[in-house]
Amino acid sequence: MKTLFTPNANPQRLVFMSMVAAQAFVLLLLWMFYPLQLFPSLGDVFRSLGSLIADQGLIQELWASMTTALQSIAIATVLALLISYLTALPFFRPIAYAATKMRYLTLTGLTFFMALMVSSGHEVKLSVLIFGATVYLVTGMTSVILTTTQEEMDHARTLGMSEWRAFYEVVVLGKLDEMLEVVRQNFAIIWTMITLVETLYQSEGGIGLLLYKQNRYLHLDGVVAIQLVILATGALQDYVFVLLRRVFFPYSWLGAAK
Amino acid sequence: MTTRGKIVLGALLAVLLYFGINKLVSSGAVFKKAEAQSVLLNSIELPTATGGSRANIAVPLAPLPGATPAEKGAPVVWEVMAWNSQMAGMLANGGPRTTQGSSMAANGLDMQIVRQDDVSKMQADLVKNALDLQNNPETPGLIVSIMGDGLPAFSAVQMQLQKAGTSLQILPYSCGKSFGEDKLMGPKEWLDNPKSALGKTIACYLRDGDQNIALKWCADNGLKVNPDETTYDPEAVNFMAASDFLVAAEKYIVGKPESRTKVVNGKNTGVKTDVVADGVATWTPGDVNIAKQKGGLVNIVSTKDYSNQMPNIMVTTKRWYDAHQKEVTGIMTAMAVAGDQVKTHPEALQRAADISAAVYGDQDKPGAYWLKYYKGVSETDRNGEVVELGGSKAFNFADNLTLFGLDNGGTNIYASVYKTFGDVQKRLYPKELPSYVPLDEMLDLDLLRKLQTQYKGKAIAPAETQKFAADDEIRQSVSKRAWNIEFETGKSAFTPETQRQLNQLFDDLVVAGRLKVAVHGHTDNVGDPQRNQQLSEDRALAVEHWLEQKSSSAFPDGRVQVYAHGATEPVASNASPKGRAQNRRVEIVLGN
Repeated sequence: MKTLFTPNANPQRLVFMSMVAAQAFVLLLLWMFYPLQLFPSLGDVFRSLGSLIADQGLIQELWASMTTALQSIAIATVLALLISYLTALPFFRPIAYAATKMRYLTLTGLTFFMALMVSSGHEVKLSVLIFGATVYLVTGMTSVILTTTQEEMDHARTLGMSEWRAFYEVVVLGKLDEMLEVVRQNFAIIWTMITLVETLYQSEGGIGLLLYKQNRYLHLDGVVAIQLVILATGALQDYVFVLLRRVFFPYSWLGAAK
Repeated sequence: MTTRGKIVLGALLAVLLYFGINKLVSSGAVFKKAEAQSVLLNSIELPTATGGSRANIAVPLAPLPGATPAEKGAPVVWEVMAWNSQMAGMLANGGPRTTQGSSMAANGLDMQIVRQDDVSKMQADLVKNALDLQNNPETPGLIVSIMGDGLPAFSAVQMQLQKAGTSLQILPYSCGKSFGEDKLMGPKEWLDNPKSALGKTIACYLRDGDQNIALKWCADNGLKVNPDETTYDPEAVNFMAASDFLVAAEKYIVGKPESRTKVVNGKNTGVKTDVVADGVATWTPGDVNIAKQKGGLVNIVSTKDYSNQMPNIMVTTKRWYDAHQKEVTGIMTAMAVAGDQVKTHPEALQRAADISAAVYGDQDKPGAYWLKYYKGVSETDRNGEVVELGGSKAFNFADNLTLFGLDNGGTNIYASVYKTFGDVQKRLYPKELPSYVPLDEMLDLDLLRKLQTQYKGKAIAPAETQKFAADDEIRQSVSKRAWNIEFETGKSAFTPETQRQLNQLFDDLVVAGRLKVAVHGHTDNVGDPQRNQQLSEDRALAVEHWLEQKSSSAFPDGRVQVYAHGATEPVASNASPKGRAQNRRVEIVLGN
């Protein structure tokens, strides 16, 4: 118990888990017994969740959004990896620099030009998401590449590797696990943008559209229910990424502080 | 296991998982989404407005309001969209904040007019205002202006207001209405043959006034509509959702296809198909953009035809309304005075347009812009087609008596509009709008009646009336639809069940205030042709009389015309009883 309030302590798993459960329980109790004036009650949210799942196809919509999200993060990752690895060549550095700065662009109005460039609503949706994710991914990935130390490079060179080979071993392969971490952190961007793109092109549905409709009629219980579902999805997704990293890069935790 | 092995295994797992879930979800084995059937709406009828005093009373030009803020009076905030129906309110206030010499100042008010185009923000502000008023009754009241036919959907805010201990309340006064600027645009062939719109798609901001115009047109023409914006029904009119009325126009201009699942008879076929926007429901400047950037669409129908659909309705919280009856009366009086000025004197209208420009705050749109589109203009589009753009009207006091049915022989036009569109939205979107607030709970005409008594015997400017020439036939029909109005066999008396149909027809016709109504009577072929001819005339006349009796203001002389066809125009075979029943019908044609 004492460990819970000691700096840098590692409490036992059981103790830690019970603490988390207790915290969540207290939050739920507060919600149940001290309802705010306008915030929907726990019961309302659950009822609404039930009806959303049973009648309004919440699961289908979630899956539709999920596939769109996965599709765009996959393409964005490939693009971003390409752009950031290419920074090794001075010729490509301005491109990466520009890409990172495009984070500051707002999407309003840009969607019109994207619509002109591609051929269907679905592609506009994808291109908006890919654009949004890529600029953040490139930013994260280039900063990972910049953590490459002189020592690491020199180590590879002393092993007789050519400059290309050294780059491949140290930067490309050596940083892959951290790249995965960058993707995990920035996947959330896609989810925050998905409501925007799904309301732009409503033909394909999606959980963002469902959320928008609930909000349009001020069904606040439905809004909270859907937000919670998105939150849970995000948590699950994070967990899957951690799992992937453990499976594919079992040694990447060696350097972490205990 | 080697890394390569892991990758192969991982990829395999991912693929299996993806297709597994996909199969499961699309099979509908887990929680099926309720399928939406396309709906044939009962014809949507809107009131016509006429009546009022025939006396020609000229209101003298009053001094125009000053430019200096008055800075005294009861504080109140008025949230408005950039909408020309508010000209009278603009002049009444003299500026974004009540100015010296304005009629608001004369009535003891200090009003701040704020532009707010976002409806959900308006709803949130009302709830916030209700809470603030609860904590501090001195908080300035908040009034928001919305489109009259959109109020049923807007009333979704009622539940939140109730949690805040109050409810929604309508000010029994409207400062004006849309008169042409909200419209359905489509290919020219839809005008001549409305059925050609079946299987086509209309882009619009869903569940609001623009879509209502399209829905009414479909209903009046007996076209089914598909309420689900994620499916495509080739036998109905489909809708493509846009995030606002300008994006709706953009969908048509850009013309990108969107992918949907095809449904047939309400059954999901699982087949994907691409749809593009064939028509658009929008308002100014969405219509201007279409005309200038792409062209090819003409006005199918607008609020000039459905002239009672979109009055500007002001709502507030009951908490403020009950505690500030004097201020509410003051606002009504101020707007009534300004309404007469705007309607009669070009100087006053010009000034109101300049104030509008200051309130709406678009740098590229000076007073002249708002003035031009208040009056409405005809321009040619890129392809040389003439398109009518813009159009609004300001109300005076007498117009309001007509709108709320307090003039002689009047009917509460707004009540018809509210119920008509509330029912439509509820029927199409039962999940999102399971019910809407009954109008009686929000509207109390006491204050308007009091003002009416106060003005009794005094000369007030007349309401604007629509005149219909008795022998003027419909030249351009807007809609045609058969009504299932049943008569007792061989007689022109209505069966009791028909009463409900007639009420609906009445409400529907009231919304389309400016359109002429042609009632076509038909019979089956049983009996003597001469007698059938007479019978069909009697039946059509019965409908006309019923309408005119119910409201002489909505159906003035000359609006309804009667045509008798006997058994000469059957729509089904007279060989079967079912066919004969179909042939005994009354058709209603609306047009200019």
